[in-house]
Amino acid sequence: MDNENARKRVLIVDDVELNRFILKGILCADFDVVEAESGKEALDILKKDNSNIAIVLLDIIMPEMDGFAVLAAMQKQGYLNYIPVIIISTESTAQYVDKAYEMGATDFINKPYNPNVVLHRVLNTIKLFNRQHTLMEIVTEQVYEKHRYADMMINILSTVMEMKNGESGLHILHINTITRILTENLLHLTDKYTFSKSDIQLICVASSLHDIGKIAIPDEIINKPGKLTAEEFEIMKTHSAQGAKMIQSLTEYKDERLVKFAYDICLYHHERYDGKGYPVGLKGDEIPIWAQIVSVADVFDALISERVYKAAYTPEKALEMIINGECGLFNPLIVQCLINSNKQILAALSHVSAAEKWEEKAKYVENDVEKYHINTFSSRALEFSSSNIAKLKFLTSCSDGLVFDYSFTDGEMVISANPELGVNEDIVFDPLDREQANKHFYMPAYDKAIELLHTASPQKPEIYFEYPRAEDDLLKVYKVHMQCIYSEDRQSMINVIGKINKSVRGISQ
Amino acid sequence: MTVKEFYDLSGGGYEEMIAKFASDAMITKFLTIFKRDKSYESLVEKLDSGDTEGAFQSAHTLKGVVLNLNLLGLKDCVFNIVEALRAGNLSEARLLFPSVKEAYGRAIEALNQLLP
Repeated sequence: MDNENARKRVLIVDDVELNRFILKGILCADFDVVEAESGKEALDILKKDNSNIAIVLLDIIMPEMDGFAVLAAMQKQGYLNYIPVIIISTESTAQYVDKAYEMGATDFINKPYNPNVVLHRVLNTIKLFNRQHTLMEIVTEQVYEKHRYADMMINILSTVMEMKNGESGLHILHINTITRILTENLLHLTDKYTFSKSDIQLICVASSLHDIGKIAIPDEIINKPGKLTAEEFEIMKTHSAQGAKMIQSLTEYKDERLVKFAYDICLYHHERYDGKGYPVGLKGDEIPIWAQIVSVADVFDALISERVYKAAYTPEKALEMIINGECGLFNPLIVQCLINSNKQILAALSHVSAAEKWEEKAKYVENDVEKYHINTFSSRALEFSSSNIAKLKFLTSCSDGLVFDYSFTDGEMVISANPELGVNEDIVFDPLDREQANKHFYMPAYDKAIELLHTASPQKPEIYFEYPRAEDDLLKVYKVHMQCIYSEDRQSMINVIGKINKSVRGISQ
Repeated sequence: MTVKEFYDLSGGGYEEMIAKFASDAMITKFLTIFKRDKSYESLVEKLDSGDTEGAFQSAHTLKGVVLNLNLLGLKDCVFNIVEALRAGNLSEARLLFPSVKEAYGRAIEALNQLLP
């Protein structure tokens, strides 16, 4: 966050010395003034050091590069996201004014300058921009914290439930994921229900609590490997009401939506659409829709997972069992959602890895950021974390093959140890030194990689190519994946992470 | 010669300037810079060479300077030539030019007395 008290800089861009001088006279008591005689000089200054430039005062009609061209460049470089521009022009025709606003100018001041008006416009514009910026940072931070704590609680809870009932702690994470996908799918399929993004998030968090009542069920019943007796099953069935009771006892939070969702989900996640479920025997849409969604998620994950009393079914079999009503009857709309999204669900479940969770978190934050109408600033912080996410994700998908990481800042290449491939410890070297590179890489493929890296961009950071090599009478092929990571301002490549796999394609000629 | 006398000689505008900028010293600084401003010379050159777009830019710059210094004696004639050039009408601009030349000449003459 900018220090409100630090002396700010104003950049004045005008080809006419007198105009710059008058503005400087008006502003120099409150600001450090930087002058540019041309559009090009202004962009050079911004590029070189735009720290603490609080505002740009920009003339439109200038030789060579005019003010509109400067605005366009500032937009393209992203400066307009954090530096407001006031147009200072002799022109007041609508054509100019409209175009300037359209291109991202914050305000328009006409000549002749009135010192008091100029000073106050500049001060107010900066104040407004700072406030907006500060607020957005606060909101982003809080939204992020909120989700972090929610996630932390879910993880704690998963661990507790895991210890209690020997179910894999993944069940809770799975229910979370399946509930989210089913809910989003349901909203897509029908307009019968309306949830906000934050409702969906709350329902997912609440779904984590669906089995919390099992804490109150004796261990002998919970962990019994065989079939439960009728009597034991009756005890087991009380977990929904027990859970609801626990939630209800949180009187302090009784009006919270999360608590409302959690109560319904605990109490009704074993109800069935035909009224044959428990504990109440509600029918159809008497059962709150969120509880209906979680009941499908719960049954689907239970079927495809191994339990003390059963082996895992294949996803196809599980889907078939649900469609055939073998686990009770469900809302046909939600079953349809499961049919539509089961591939997506399986993919999501297989990725409950650290990197995926990070990414998901960033997505939530982005969603909320959108919700709070946080515009472009927001994402400067996020983009940086997304580059780390890209890195993590890429690496986690690289369990096989040789993984390398080149950092432009350190000028170092690290090849990660992989004993299966005979690399027993990390190798660190400077790949720009061809002699060193030659020790570790097949140079024709290496040169190809360098050539292709020049074609990468922030929009297209992934590179893949194959390179054949005759080796030991066999024709082998190197498959090279590279992921480029860019700096926060997307101006420069800071890392290249890659993976090399080698496979045999045939007998060498 | 005082700043007020300069304004009176060149066509007026002093009262508004002193109300805005409060001191003769400040206005004198502005006028010192005006003395080395080349937009008028550039306008003459562009009109002579028939460069309408260039002439428009120079006239426009001169208009900004005239506005900022509140040189009332130059205001109307400079406005008119800017509009003629904006419309791309070089011959009309050439017809209007003598009035600019006369007013500018008067201002510079006064300026040379104020800032020899």
